[in-house]
Amino acid sequence: MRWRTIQTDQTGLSLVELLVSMVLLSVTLVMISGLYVSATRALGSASALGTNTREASNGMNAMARSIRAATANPVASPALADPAISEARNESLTLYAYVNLGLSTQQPVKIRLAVDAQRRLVETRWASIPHPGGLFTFATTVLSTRILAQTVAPSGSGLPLFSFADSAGVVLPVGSALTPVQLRSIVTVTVTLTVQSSTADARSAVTLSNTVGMPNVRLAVGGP
Amino acid sequence: MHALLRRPGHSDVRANSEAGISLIEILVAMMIFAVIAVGAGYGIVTSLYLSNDARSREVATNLAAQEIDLARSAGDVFSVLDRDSTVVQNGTTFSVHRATAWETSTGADGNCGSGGGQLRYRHINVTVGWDSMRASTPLVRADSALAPGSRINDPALGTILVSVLTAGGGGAAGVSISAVPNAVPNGAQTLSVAPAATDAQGCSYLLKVKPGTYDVSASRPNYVDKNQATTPVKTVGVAAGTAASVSFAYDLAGTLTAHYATNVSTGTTLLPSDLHTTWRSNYAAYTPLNASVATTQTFRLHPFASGYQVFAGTYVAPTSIIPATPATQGCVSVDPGAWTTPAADGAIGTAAVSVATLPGGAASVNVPLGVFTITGLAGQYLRAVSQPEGAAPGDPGCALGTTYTFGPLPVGATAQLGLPFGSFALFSGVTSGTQIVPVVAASVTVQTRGSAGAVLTLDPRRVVTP
Repeated sequence: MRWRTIQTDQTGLSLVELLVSMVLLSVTLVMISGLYVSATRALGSASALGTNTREASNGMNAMARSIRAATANPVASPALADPAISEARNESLTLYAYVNLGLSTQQPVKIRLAVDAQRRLVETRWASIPHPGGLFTFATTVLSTRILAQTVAPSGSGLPLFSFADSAGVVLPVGSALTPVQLRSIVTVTVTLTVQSSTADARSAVTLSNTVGMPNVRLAVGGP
Repeated sequence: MHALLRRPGHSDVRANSEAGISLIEILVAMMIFAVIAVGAGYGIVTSLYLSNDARSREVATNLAAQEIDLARSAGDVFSVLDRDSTVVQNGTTFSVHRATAWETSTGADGNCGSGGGQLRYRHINVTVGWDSMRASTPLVRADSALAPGSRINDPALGTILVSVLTAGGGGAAGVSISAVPNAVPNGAQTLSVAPAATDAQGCSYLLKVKPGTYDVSASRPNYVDKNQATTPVKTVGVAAGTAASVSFAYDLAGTLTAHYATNVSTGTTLLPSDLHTTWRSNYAAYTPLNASVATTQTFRLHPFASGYQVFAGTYVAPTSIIPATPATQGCVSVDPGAWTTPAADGAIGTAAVSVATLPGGAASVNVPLGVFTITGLAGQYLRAVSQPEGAAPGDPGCALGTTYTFGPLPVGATAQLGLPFGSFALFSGVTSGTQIVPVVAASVTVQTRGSAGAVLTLDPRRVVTP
């Protein structure tokens, strides 16, 4: 104390003061950094969830619109028209649609919805070639390709991306290619779309499910 | 650090210019930080909640679209019914409710399209909610209308809309409906197509029927309607180009077991051979005849949720005074609740016991009787005639002269007999139908509250202890 009274102006910090201030500072720092980290994490998660939701929503809207418009394609022979859905697999689907919203010409279109090697959901369109008698065939060269969703999660134990049901509600097995008779019996397509940030990151996955009917196919759904 | 946080005003005045931060200052600073941190934390939680809510809302929108798609793909508009389902997605449980109803030409929105107009189209309202939904936010909903695929109305023909509701007010499914021309058909003809049984909403639609008068009936095993009829029939007139509505309240019967004279523990009580029991619901009183003289009887009744008040005897409400119509005082004394005049000892009538069952359920109920013994009439027949108001003090009376007969009375010095409450004149005779000899009061002993004098009075009143 005496030393202190003599040299008042030059008084430094005592060890206790230093320790107390360090403890308080560290407590404050821990609180601030904790808040900052959790805020960053929460905002990252919310933004990933938001992005995935928008992406899944866009993808689902685009797919549902195409599937709703699916129509059988009349051919010159045989007498029966080609079924509206010409390829039905767990992760790919090809259909004919007369509701063609991508072109200015009033012509049908062939659409393939499939998951590619990078787990992107890709929509491929082929233009139609008119023939006498109101018949159409489809070009072999691709008209347009667009990505509907960036990362589609593998289905795992849940429903696959596409599952197909007949009028009795029975799901058709798609392990092997369906026969034309089976393809004609498809009435509804259940789309279960799970979008996540990357193939490895399933934390902010968003799953949308929609059973899409095909009014143009004109088969009735049974049951309640 | 100290230099940075030093308060400028103090540095000039005080010599101890290098003073550190006091504890109070630190606490204040931490408090301010805490306020800011709470605000930031709330913002984080809200952003997480909102992004989850946006995801759930998107899922719900798709589920609603799916429900509309499925309804649109249904071949028969009549098969699109109310439906509830739950879907678990992204760890959230979604409940999907589909409500459907007919829209008619009058715009009335009754069950099964009743309300007078012709059926036009069916409207579908889908609502989707989920379990972590914020209460103030609206449900996701989608609405559509379905027109029948083919013509269901004809200007020269009519429609009968049948609605069958359970006791709980829901639709009764699977009830067979039939419609036959009335005895006075007015042009009605036998239907070419048998009506379908009711659907999940309790509706059956009889389309394109010839105008006329029809008897429409509902039937299903073990079902009874609100009037306790097993096959209720309603007569309805159908005009060309209109729809007639018929509604039934029809449900699986409940089994009610009545135990009589349980208010007397000694001896075996003999019941009259023509005893009726009153089952009084909010809707109406039903007074079936007991099947036998046994003291335990079962009844199969419409399962009114509010139940029945049960007492022995046929209750007839007094008719109000209508000009040119003889007013009657009815038969009131059988209802213990009607003995509203207190006796000298303060005893008063209490309402009869109530019993209710679920549809298909069972319940039992004790029915008290007025019990008395009679001596010296073994092998004879007995007739009790109910007496009007005034026969005994406080007795509301049974002015209809209802008779109850016993006999032959069992062998033995005394016989224990049970009657509904009220006042009675007793007559005996050696054969059935010739009971004309008045019974002397001395041979009658009342077991329950009451008196045996010129008339036998069986009194349900009890002293109610507060």
